[in-house]
Amino acid sequence: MAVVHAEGNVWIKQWDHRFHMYGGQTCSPLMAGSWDDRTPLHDAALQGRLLPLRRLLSQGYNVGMATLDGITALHEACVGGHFTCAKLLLEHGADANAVTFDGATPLFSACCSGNPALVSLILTHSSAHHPAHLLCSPLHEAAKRGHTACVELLLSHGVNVDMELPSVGTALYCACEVKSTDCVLTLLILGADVQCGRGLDTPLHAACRVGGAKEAELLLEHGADRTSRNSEGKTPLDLTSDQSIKHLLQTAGTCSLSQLCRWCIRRSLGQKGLNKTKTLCLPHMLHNYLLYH
Amino acid sequence: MTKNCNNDYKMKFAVDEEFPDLSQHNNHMSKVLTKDIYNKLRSKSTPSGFTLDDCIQTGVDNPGHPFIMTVGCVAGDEESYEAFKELFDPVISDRHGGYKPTDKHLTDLNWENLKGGDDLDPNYVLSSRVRTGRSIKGFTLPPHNSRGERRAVEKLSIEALNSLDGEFKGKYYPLKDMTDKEQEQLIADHFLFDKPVSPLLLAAGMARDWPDGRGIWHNDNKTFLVWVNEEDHLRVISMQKGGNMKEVFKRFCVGLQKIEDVFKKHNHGFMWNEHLGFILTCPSNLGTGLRGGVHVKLPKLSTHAKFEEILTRLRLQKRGTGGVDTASVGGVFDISNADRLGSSEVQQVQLVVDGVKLMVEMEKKLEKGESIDDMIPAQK
Repeated sequence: MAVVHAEGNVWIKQWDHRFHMYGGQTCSPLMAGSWDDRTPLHDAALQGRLLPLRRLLSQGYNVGMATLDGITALHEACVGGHFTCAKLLLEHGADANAVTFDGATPLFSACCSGNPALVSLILTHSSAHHPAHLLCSPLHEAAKRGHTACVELLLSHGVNVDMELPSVGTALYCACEVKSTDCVLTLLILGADVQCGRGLDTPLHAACRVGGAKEAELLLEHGADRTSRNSEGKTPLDLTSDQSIKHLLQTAGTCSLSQLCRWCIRRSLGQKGLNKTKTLCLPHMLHNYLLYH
Repeated sequence: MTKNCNNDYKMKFAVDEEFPDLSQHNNHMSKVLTKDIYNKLRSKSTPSGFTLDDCIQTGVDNPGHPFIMTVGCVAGDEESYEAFKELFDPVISDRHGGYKPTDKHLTDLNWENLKGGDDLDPNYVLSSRVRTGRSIKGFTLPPHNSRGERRAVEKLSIEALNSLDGEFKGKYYPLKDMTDKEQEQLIADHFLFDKPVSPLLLAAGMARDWPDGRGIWHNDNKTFLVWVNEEDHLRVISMQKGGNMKEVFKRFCVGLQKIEDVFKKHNHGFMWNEHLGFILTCPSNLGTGLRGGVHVKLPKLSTHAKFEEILTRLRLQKRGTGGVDTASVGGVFDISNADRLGSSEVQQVQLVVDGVKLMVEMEKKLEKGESIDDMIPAQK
């Protein structure tokens, strides 16, 4: 036992030496190529190899070791979608709020891989659900990749559904651009403003541009204004060559009073209000009416 | 071809049995290597005994990253790129923007051809550096070389570097004989390199016999540094505080020429050919092997929606600084050229000089609350 303990000390000294030698980096930044700064910890985390991860951490490997671009092992575990590895790293003190040089957080990386259990885990350890860097938004990334379950998790943790990023737009706009039907539906039901897209470009403009008939239909069902004009003065109808979408836009008739009332109430409530509405003791019928159940 | 008994032994297995499982991989090698290519090349070896399996081992052992493409193969000697041409040509094409087997590389190490570059605003440009690698003819490369070869490279390098004078006068520090004090100083200067821990480098055989034959040389002014037997035979860097890239590039060109002159006296010039330019271990560094960069403060531009696009259009790339030049890394970027093959050293450094100048101007405009929309550059 004494021998094992002594050996452990030697390992700890070795890893600590490296950590301090480069001021918390994995190697000298002077000549390093784009992969020189990866460590066995990053490698194991990215590939979901639990055994070497456990071994390295137990040998005293510093869990916060970052590449020159600020990528930690936790970022890599999240990129790879590995729940168990991420959990282990967090238990060893990994920083769930670590930000890479590109502004990516572990939450952002988890949304790239789309593992809901992992996203949920990071959300419980992370204090920042919004991007540290505006260009790396977890919500937008999940929407872009059609990771609907992750979108739901983020919204249930209070992420602003209508956050608009410059040149990217809202999450709903992103989901329309990639024709992620489930994601569009989920965002709408959970309170996304059907008119908020990218500047004057609405989600309906995006859907029409890419020929997303199902998305266009959903948007119209949730009150999208088909007469909106974007910054170029074009309506959604002007942007589509898809016959079924044209037909849809041209034949959309008068909405029922019931539908108009629902839209009006939902818009008044907004995302937060809708969230709270779920907890009210409303009659079943009214509950289903407002929340599309 | 030289007889290679290990490789011959493997030939008893059929191609299907020997072909690596690349189903989970994301590197250039894995996208290029077919069973046909493997079958065609696997019996070959270079005069020094490097094989196809040796080339690709690092890419087989390191599946890659969803967001970062590595090349996934290395050269073991100068002849590897010709012997395994069917593998390397498509990898080189993928990695170097469509560079064709018939293309000719440009080499221009005349620092006087650089226009401007001596006036980058030092309030924004904290430091400048130009670095590259060189391989010495007549020896195999770090993934493959023997202890004897590595020691011979070190010996020749020490002789070459010790013969320098003037601003290039300096001292060599072998890794295995370094005093604690010397080590601490080199760490403080950010000059020290250590045994690689990157799985990619280890799988390529870069760390064998460490620290035997490895060392660091720098001049007295600490503006010219050479690493011996790290990823390449030589890694060379010229650097200084502030924004005078012209002076940095001048020292770079003059220093390299002086070193090569000494090597040539011993019939060991640098590996170079008119197609691939300077030949280095990693295919991604072929051509110039050069990375000319500055540490520059761009806190506002870096959060602009078009930042990535601006970098791409200027043919530049960004990296973290790792704390060099500033305690806080927020907003400070290492900006360098993205290209290596197909354009010359002067052209690549020129892109950095012109691009950084433009970005600093953009930063200043953003500080005044003005738009930079009219300054967005066209694709270079």
